[in-house]
Amino acid sequence: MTESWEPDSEILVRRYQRLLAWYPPGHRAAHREEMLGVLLAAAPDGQRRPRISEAANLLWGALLIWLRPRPAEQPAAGAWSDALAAFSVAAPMAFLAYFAAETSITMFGRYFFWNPWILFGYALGGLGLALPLVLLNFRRTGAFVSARPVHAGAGPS
Amino acid sequence: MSQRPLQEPTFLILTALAAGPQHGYGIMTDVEEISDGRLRLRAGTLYAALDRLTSDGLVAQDREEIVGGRLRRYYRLTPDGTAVLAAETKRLRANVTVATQRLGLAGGLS
Repeated sequence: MTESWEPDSEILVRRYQRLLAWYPPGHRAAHREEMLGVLLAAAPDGQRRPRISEAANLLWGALLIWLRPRPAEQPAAGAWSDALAAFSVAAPMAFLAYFAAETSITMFGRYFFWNPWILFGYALGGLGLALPLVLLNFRRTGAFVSARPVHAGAGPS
Repeated sequence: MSQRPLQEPTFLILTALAAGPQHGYGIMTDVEEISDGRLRLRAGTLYAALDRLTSDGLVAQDREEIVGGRLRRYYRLTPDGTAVLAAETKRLRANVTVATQRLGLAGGLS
């Protein structure tokens, strides 16, 4: 392992921090340390990296929070769409990069990102997989944002 | 008060907070216990729900403490949250009563 000199918990903290970086800035500022505490409390002893399902759940949670209109700080429609568009591109790419890293360490016991050819392969594969998702997301989130009524004090669901 | 039925994770998060304020990890373990191990909330789901419940005014942030160098923030039910949970409980109880009668389980058999 290239990172064996680091304690497991520090490696895990760093990996959780990378996932939490996908949350909206306001939410991140208010809840990042708290969420990190919860994630670490829930992690079994000796865990070095987030499970795939947990990483996906964190990204999904980030997406839900990005998508929620906030009565107190309603951004302009343009800024809102831009943020969504950026997220819908970035999130699948980030998840694919994370998945590639997990696969690499599971299959070969180490990360292969240092090798430019393998990196190129990941980039091509990631683009091929992400592109349909991105196009779909642009269409869906565009329709979703324009059709969704914005109302304060929405009922719970 | 007319409201949409609560999804089960939401119902259980509110139930977990009904007895008193709890921090995030406390809510996760309590929900698992209340649901008899059936529902295990993950952090992403929990914080998305807390964000929504807070902005809807059903849950509010309570005190904070530092444990083992990590921040713990407690959440509590607001009066609106208590009212929504009570209304949902009443609705579910009414449904259960009818279902119990129609199934002929009124004697308490299951």
